[in-house]
Amino acid sequence: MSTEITSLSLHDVAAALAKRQLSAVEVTDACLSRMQTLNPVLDCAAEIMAVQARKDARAADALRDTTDNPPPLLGVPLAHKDMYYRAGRISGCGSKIRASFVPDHTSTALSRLDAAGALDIARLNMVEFALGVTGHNDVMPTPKNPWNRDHMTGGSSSGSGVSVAARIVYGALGSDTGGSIRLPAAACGLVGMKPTYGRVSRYGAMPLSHSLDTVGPLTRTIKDNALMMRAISGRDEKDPTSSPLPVPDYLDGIDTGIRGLRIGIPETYFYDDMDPAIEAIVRASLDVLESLGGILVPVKLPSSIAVTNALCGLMTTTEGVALHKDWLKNRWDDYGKQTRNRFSAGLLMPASGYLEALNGRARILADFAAAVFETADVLHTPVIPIPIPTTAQSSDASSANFFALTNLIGRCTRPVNYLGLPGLNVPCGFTGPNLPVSFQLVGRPFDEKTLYRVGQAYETATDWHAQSPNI
Amino acid sequence: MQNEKTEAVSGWLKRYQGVERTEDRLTPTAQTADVFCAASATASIDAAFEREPSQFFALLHALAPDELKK
Repeated sequence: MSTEITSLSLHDVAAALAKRQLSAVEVTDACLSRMQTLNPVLDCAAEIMAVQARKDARAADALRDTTDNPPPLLGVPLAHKDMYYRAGRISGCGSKIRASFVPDHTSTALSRLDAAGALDIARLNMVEFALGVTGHNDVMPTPKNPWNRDHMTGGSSSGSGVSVAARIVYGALGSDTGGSIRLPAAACGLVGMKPTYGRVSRYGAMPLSHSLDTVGPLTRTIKDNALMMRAISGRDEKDPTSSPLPVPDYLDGIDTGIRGLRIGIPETYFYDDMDPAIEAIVRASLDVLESLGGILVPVKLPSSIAVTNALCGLMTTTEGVALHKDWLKNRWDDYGKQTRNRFSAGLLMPASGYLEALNGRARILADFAAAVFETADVLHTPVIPIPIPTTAQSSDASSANFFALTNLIGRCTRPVNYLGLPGLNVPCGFTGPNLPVSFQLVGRPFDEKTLYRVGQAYETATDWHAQSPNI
Repeated sequence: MQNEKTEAVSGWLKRYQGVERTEDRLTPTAQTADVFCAASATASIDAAFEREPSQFFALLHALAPDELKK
């Protein structure tokens, strides 16, 4: 019975709780039990807050008994990347350096999920300081991919991807600076939303790169993702970079289909250097979308798209090293090798190059938007252009091919961060030894709603989201 | 000649500082390099408080769906 409970989608478990078919205590016990069984195998959680979770679950059940208007996620167990601050609780950021850091304030994303009634039952492992695309962590446990433990989880929201894919929790926050939500979502067969820059408040979230960081959810289904995004999106006075634009109801009209919607297919860049088997699966998803009434439109991207991967990396390491330079000086040995090497690269970037990368964004975005959104409503691209690498391949930074590998893994995600656009990861198949494959939908700024509508149409017509790993 | 200089200054400020200045604020700056540099530095400082130089975030909002901007 407890496996049946944890296998429900977030949307369905919230509905079962609302109808009192399940209690928050039952659901939380099921999730905690699964987490306690699987965490020794999958290394997804840094800390399981079982006592507090059960206390919160009892309070959720009590609240449901006393209110006519319960919040939408009341009693739903979630867990989040260990970089969302909660006052009085450790937030380790996947590091030795912050292993005992206790913030004095709570992140807005967590506060909004609290207000929506969700339970926060664990701190999830992550790549050290969220800087890395493979999921590997030299100083803290590296989570294992539940689909195939010999292969990487993707990063940096590695524990978020693993916990949701393993049916331990119903959803998890990740963060995305260059692909850190979409890559673990892709490697673990999940839906992952990297929202428009400014759509979700970053207040109380560990910063890495203030020009690129975004906050978003990983879930098993599109509707689950839309539910979490609805809870966390919107202007926050505590984050001056958050947008004042109103937040639409992402679930409203989500099932209306995509007849007549124009789906752009990039003629350049995104399909370069792709593994043929992955390309075949990703292109097959276009056939499904066309069969649903979508109009496939070839899109010629501006040549500037080719530099956006590198510019995103430059901005990440430069802004990151500005935050880390004192620790790099004083606590060099407490960093993992991969992390300190990546941050150190930021010290070598000329200020003029950084400013050029920053100032070029508007011009490159304007060119991209003119090429894509005057022709198409969304752009359809691959996510990880190769089969999910093994943990051995993705952990050995001394390998001659390591930089090329990590560059390739983030090749289709980093441009979206540089452009500030929303990007949605949608699972679309498997290859090789049980390894998920996904496509990405990229939308115009603040148009997450259209991405969800396309993703929902695809998900309804297929069953990839319903498959679960055999752990 | 004066107009050409003004145009050049105006173009420079728009391209590299992301700010637009009316002619009456630019004309004096088109006189000498020293005055121009001083004025451009002032424009830079002003811009930092007015908007971020590349106007990237303004463009993100300008490209948002119309129904969100009503």
